[in-house]
Amino acid sequence: MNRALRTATSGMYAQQLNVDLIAHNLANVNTTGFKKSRPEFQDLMYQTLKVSGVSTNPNVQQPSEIQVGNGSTPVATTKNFSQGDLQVTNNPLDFAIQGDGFFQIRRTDGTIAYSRDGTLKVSADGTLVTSQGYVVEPGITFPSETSAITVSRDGIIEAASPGSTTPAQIGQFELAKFINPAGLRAIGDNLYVDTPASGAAIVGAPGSEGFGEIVQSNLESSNVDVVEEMVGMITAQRAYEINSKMIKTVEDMLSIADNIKR
Amino acid sequence: MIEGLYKIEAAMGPKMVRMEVLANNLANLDTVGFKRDRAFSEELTDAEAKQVATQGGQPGIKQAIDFSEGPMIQTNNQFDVAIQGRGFLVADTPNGKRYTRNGNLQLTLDGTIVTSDGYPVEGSSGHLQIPDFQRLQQGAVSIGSTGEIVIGKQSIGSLRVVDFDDYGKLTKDHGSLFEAGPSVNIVDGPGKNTTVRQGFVEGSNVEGIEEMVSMIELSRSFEAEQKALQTVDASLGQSIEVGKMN
Repeated sequence: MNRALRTATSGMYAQQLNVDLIAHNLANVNTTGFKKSRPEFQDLMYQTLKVSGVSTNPNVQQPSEIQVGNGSTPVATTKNFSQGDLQVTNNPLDFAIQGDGFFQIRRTDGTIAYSRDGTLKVSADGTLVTSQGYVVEPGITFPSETSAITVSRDGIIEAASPGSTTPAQIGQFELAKFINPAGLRAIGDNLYVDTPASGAAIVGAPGSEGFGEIVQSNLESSNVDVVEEMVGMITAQRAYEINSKMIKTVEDMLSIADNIKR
Repeated sequence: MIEGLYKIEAAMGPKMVRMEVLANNLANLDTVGFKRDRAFSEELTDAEAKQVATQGGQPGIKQAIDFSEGPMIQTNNQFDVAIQGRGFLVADTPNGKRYTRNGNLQLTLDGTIVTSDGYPVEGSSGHLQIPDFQRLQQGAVSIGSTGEIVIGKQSIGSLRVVDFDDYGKLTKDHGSLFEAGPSVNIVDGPGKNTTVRQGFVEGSNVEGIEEMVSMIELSRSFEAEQKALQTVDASLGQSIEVGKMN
């Protein structure tokens, strides 16, 4: 009977983690390029109780064993990389990726991180950087007299300068993609780093086979669906409640057993 | 009179175990590929009831796994597969082959496709491995309705989907894995009504309400049996009192 108490506790713990993730998703409902995550659970070991001491009717097939499980445990949280909605911002330095791929961001320690957040800025020396000031790879520097920036769907960056009729091509975006994006690790600041499970980055030009296109003056909103999260919240709360009811019921039964002897 | 005590005890014991089975179902409301257990009390003969009460042992329970299909949950993850219809994926564990409907597949460092526990998943011929995994040029993975895995334009094999003639011979291992008994017939599939669906996983088939109702039913009958036990005990006490007066 104590087993049932522990089992129900594991169920409550699982739902608590579920609610933690829902809270994080909802807190990021307006975060550019955010990808929602969900927990994954597994059932724990089974204990086999042997049927013994009971002779059975030889005409009836008796299952040889009874298995009682020990509850559930969280095993992983998985990101859902479905496309978020594109939002027009009219800011020429806002970029969204429509389709697969990540911007490559060089962090201060020299390693590359990956992001779908295209709210870019130009630093004092003309370099294209993220909101946090990290350089976007491959490094793109705008001439000081740049008056307008145009980026085509395939990521070619052109800068116009006053007095010149044709804009000059100054670089091209490169996107990275992964065979298993669900294996990427989120490190905050809208950044992801690769892991053995995600595979190595595959780098390519936007719009080429298998890569998404760059949409200028647009941002990709969070892919969190509020209704879906609310429904998840209700089911998680109910599941939590039902597991706590189980604990209460087991407690009642134990006290009934205690009271057999008056 | 004493016989009555045995009978009631034999009824109460299994209810405790059945409650534990219910608790496990409820704890796995959100476990991918989980199949709920159903435990039933079994009718015992008088002799059996007495034997259980006096010699211990696990009394009269029968158990069955409910293999009905759980809800399809869309995940958009290209390494998630759900099996619609009958069938199981095959995982190669150190303890032998295990069968699962948990299609939450993962990749290892060398590109081997494994279950969420890290056991290699069997393909139609051996394990499935993505060649040249760390230097891939193609990122698009498509898993067809028959389980064929295509990376870019190159097929790397098919997921092995099997079925059994008798689900009653399957027992549970942890992690939504099932073990097949030695006498079970394995049918290689997927059968004609079985479809492998990429980007989905199969949720748990536990229904909260149903388990809740069983929980109430169990605890109430447990209570009733306790009352019956107390009544028998009281009558016994009375008889003893009668004896004293003589």
